[in-house]
Amino acid sequence: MEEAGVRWLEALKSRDEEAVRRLVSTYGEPLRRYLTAMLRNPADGEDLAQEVFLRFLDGLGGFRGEASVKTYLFTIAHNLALNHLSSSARTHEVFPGEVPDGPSREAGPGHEVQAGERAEALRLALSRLPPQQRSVVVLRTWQDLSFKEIASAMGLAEGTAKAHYFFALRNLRKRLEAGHEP
Amino acid sequence: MSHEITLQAALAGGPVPQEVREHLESCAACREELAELRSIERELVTATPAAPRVAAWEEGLVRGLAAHERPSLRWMPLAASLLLAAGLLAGWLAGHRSGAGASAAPLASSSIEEPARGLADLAVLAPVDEDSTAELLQMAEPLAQDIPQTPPAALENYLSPAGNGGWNG
Repeated sequence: MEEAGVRWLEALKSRDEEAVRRLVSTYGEPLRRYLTAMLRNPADGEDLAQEVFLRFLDGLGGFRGEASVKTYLFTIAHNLALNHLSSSARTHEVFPGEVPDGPSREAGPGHEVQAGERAEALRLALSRLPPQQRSVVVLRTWQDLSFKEIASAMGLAEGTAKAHYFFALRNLRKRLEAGHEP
Repeated sequence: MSHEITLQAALAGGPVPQEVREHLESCAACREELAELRSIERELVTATPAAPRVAAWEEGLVRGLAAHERPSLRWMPLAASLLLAAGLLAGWLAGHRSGAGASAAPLASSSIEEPARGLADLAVLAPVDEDSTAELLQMAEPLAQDIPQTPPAALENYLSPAGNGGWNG
């Protein structure tokens, strides 16, 4: 790890505000997005993202820099998300409609409306994948983690992470096709 | 090489192994499915929720984390016990001093004849200041024998974070 990185971690241990600000501004949004996708609930995503940071800072004494900070944070996030999912039967799904990124139905040309609907359908299908598959897809496509990093974060073999990814894409395709059937 | 292994390898990113390329060249079904899955992959990237940064959430988080000193739960029971002991000692000393002061005061001479109550009982038993600590320990000894030598099971769990699913677990 570079010297600047070591200094930053030391500053984080003493909860230096600027160091914490850098941590949150770099990883807050990716974590919030990942956890919202995993939990299908923005409020839970925010709560758990906060818990990820708390656990990371509390455990910094044991962080030896073998994994990147990003992988370490997502490891904590993944474990917390699975614990949360297993301990609560969450059935409401606000995730798909929470953050529409396409134009509204009233606005824009027809193909843009279709693109927005397609994106929403895809997010809905993603939210219904099994947690492990959902996690791999989000980490791969939204967080741009390598399969090696994903495997590390999820405690899997790299080949298993790749297999989850393949079956997740296949599942998504099937769900999208099923959604288009009359 | 099976179709699924071929597709997994092709989707893994990086250079495509020779045997995977050969399978794809000879298998139209795999080529078709790979094209469809890569299309889904591209759509996923563009379907990333465009959630605006929640500045207020981030700022609150920064302040909370910077100010937050999460106490180690492992030492909480010990700290609570020490505080309790310190409080009892302070209370006893206060009672002892007020008792000693009262005996020296003219108005307190009548109160000595009244039955001692509560902490005043301890003041009567305490002979002089230099022996007060030893006297206190002697009085506390029977009480200490009532304290269980092993903590209850619930407390044991509380004192062992590893059993609570540590964050590496």
